[in-house]
Amino acid sequence: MRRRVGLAALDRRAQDSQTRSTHGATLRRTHQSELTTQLSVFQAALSTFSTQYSSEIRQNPKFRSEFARMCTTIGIDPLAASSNRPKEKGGSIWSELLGTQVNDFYFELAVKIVEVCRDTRSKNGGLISVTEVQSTLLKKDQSTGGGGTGLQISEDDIIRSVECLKPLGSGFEIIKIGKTNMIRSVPKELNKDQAKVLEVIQVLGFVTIGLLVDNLGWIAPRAQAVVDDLMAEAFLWVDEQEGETSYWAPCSL
Amino acid sequence: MADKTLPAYFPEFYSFPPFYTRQPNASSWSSQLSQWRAFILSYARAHKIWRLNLVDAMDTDLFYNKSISRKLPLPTIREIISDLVASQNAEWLSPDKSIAYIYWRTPEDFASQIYSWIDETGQKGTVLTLLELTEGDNTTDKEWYGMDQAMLVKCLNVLVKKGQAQIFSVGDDKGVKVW
Repeated sequence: MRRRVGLAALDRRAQDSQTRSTHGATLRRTHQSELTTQLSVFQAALSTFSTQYSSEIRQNPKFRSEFARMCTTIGIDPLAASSNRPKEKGGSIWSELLGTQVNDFYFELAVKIVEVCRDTRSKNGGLISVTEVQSTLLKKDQSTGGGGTGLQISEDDIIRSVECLKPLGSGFEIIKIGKTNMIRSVPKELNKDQAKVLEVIQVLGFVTIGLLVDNLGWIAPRAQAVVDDLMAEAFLWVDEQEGETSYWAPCSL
Repeated sequence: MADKTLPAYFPEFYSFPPFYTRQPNASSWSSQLSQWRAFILSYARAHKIWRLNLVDAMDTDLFYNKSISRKLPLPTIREIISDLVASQNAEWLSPDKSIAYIYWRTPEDFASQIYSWIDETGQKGTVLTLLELTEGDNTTDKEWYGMDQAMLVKCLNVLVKKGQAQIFSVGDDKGVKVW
C-alpha cells in the first residue's frame, strides 16, 4: 500500500522528535542524578576519610603527599584557589573538608618559603634548591623552640606550596636542573645553555670554560657568554685562585 | 660539604672556594661582604681578638682555609675591614691600615656592660684599675675580659663623655671611677 503524503505526517514527525528529546532529557537527568549521587557519596567518603585522618594528614608528610596525589589523580585540585568558587561555598575542597587546616598549612608554608627565598636572594641570585629551603626551615623551626613540633615538611610539601603561589603571578617557580628541584624566585627564564651549565655544576661542583668546551662541544665564546650571563644574574660566583678560572653556584653549596 | 669539625660560627661559605675571590657582581659582593663581616666579628669574639694585624691574620684560619688552599687577598681583607670601620665595628690603628681594633661589640655596648657590672657589684665610687677590669678574678666571665688596654680606655671614654666616669693615673696603671 502506498502511503500518501499528508499533513498528518508533519505532525507525526514533530511528535516523534519531541518524544525522542523528552526521552533524551529523561536519560540525561537519570545520568545526572546518578552521577550526583555517586559524587556526593564519594565526597562524603573523602570527607570522612580526611576528617578521620586529618591529624595524620597534618603531621605525616608522606601520608599528606599521598593524599594530595590521590586527589590530583581523581581530578580534584585540593588547593584550587578559594576565589574561584562562590563565596557562600567558600574555600577549596580541602578547606571544606578539613576546616581550612590543611589548606592553611600550605599557604603558611608558602609564606615561609617566600621568606627564605628573599633572605637568600643576594647570596644565590634567586635560585635555591628545595632541599636547602627544607633544611633552612627546619633550622628556623628548631631555633624558635620548635614552634611546629612534630610538623615535618617534605620536599613534596614545598613543591606544592610553591605551586599554590602561581596564581599570584609572583614569579615563583619550581624548575628542574639535572635531578634537583630548584625554586626560582626571580622572574628570569633560564635558557637551555644556562640550565646545562648549572646541571654540570651540580655534577662536578664547578665549571671552567675549558670543561664546557671539552664536555659539551661548545666553542669557547659560547661557554664564556653563558657563564658571563649567569654571573651577571648572581647565579654563579667566580674563583680565581687556582689554575683556570672556575665558576661555582652558591645555590648548590 | 662544610667541614664538620669547624665551630658553628664558621659560615657555610668558608669551604666555598669563590668566597676567597672578590666577586665582581655587585649583588654577589654585597652578600659576600656581609658574610665576611659577620664571620670576622664572631671569630674575633671567639678568639678574643682585639687588635687585628692584617698581614699576620692572613695566615690564620680566619682568612686562610688550608683544606681547600684558598686565601683571602690582603686588598680584599682591607676593603672588608674598612667597611667594618665605616659601621663603627672596627677602627684603624695606623694610617697605613695594617692594624685595626675589632669591635665585635660597639664601644657603647662594652661601656654599658662595664657600667652595669660596676653598678651591680656595688663598686660605684671606688677606683678600679684598668687591669682589675680586664684581668681581675671577678671579670673572667665578662666579655671584656682580656681586652686591650688602649681599647678599654676608648670604651670607658664613652662613660666619661656622658659624665658617668673619670679616668686617672694610678702609678703605672690607669684607674677609673664610676658614679
